[in-house]
Amino acid sequence: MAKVTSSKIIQAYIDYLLEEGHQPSSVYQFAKSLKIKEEEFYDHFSSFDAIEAGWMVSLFDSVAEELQNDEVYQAYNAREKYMAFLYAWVEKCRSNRSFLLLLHKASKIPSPIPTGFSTIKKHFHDFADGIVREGLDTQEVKQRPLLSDRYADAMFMQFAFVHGFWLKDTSKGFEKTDAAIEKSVHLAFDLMGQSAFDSALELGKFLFQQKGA
Amino acid sequence: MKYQDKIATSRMDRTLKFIGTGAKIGGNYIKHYAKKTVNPSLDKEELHRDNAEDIYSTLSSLKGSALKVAQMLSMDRAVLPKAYSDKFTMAQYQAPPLSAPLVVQTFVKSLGKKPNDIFEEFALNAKNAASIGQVHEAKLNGKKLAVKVQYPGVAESIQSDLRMVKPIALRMFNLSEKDLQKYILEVEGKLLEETDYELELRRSTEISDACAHLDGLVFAKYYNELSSSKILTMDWLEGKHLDGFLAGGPTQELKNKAGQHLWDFYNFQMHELKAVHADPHPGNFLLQEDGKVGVIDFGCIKEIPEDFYFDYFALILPSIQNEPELLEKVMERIEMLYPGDSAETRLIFKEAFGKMTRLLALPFASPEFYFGNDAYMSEIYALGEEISNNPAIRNAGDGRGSRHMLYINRTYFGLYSLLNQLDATIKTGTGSWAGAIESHFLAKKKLNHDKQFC
Repeated sequence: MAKVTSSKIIQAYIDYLLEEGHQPSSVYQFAKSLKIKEEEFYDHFSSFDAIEAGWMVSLFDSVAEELQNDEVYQAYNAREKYMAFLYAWVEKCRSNRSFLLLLHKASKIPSPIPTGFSTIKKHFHDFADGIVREGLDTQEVKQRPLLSDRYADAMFMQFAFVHGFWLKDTSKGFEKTDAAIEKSVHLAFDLMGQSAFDSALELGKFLFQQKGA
Repeated sequence: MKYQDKIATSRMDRTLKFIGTGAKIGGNYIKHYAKKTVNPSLDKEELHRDNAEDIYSTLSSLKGSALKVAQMLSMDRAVLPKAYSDKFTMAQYQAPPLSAPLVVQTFVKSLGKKPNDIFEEFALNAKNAASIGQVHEAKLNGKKLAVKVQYPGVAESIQSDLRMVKPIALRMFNLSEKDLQKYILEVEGKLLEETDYELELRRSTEISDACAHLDGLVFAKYYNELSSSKILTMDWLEGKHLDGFLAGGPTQELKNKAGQHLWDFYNFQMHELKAVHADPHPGNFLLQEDGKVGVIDFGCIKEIPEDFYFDYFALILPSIQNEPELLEKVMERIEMLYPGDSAETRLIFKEAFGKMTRLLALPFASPEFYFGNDAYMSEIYALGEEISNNPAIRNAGDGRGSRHMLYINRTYFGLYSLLNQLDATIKTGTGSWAGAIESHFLAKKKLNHDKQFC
């Protein structure tokens, strides 16, 4: 008998969830329906939640990989790269919308962070750090003491916002999500870049120094 | 590069903007009357200027439909005081671009492929911005193409914008809610049509086929398989916009030639096709070095209903103008006069509209007309202002004129103003259509006349 693969288990799990609307009652039952032994399941995943996490990570990785292989993407500046990522993400999520909605509905604790997002946080961080570094190089993003290290965290919140917006979006072709991405990324980068805030700070510093002199 | 990052998005946001303007206009009036008590010679022009500035700054910070409404108002100059129209003309060509990733996303969504997988070359930076989309340059099989990409969610925001333009319009034009509704519905229908690129593709193909035999016009070929409801691909037309063309110092002969092509194009559409490219603002025409005119953007097509056609063009024919009874009937049918009008109101409107139509029909009254005559254009503005400031007309509070007139008038104002800027002398006059209209009305009259004697 052919060995079962991780992706086969993931697919079977998604199918089950979509058709039944809830998790299988036990790993034993699920393994049986797959015609594998229970321990074989544990070779790949420790629990059903681990399947969901694994699936999210592979979704994220496939989006990141697609972008890396895209010539046009490479030519973008940091702001455009991040936008392109979000567009690619919601596009990828489109074909899995039912599953994502189900995951979202099934989440036990209400949270501003969509379900499954905590598992991709680390992956997103690595990706976002790359964009921030590039932004720092090109001066699109301003180096600020303390704050600079938290840029990726802020971007993660914004990513979660876009995803949450998309989950609730009922517009034709999710047009509103497109507008939300466009506008929220502009805002994020305007805040991270040189802005009125910096000039105000500069002035404050200057005036403070005059006092001392 | 300026992005669309400052556009008010949510409805709430836009509503606030509009309310702000409404309040400001009110404020300007108070300012005006306060100043006037001190200085009675203060003219209304200053007040209009203040109002126009506030409306303009509100509208120009919005995009999509609001910008289009601004364009529309900027066209309908005869209704607007000059101060308004000057400001509104600036509202053209100003939409900020979509980001490159959004352009790519729109392609992926509606055509299933990225632009560089479809075209040999595709410039991600837009060449031109239109009010509801932007134009990119592309190349396929060595051929230069223009690709129009639409902003997301335009149709929806049009509807919510128009609901909010209403209070301002009520104030500006002093119309009753019901009468304003008649015009708003017409504008809404047309604006929503403009967001349908599939419709635009069909229509542009139809019109360019029908006009193919006309001299001096250039139409782009449209590519169905490279278009969708959000993307429109066509041949790239060479040529310059009006200001660029004029900056190149064309000869008078060339200007006349280009102007004549435009005039003939519109004549043919009005009288033969009975459907007209109703957006003749300078951005929609490309003037070529040999005086040929490239026509782009078939988003706004007004189909002219048969009955309305006869009534509208009858008004400008001297032979009908000289038949008071008939003229009155036609004016009633075209909703310039209402059956319930008092004799006094009737007289005021008859005179006002009579004067206006005679003035606007002036180019048709002679075989040749010089549009560069600024005195003629200012006379139109002055009369428009006189009419809109006439207390009897202002206070009537009802919308005069059929809703179809809105776009047809706009088309003629646009055309006249283009020809004025071109400083062109045009072979105008009336064509064979005049005879058809005359016989339509006068034969009927003769018939009625004969009946009475039977």
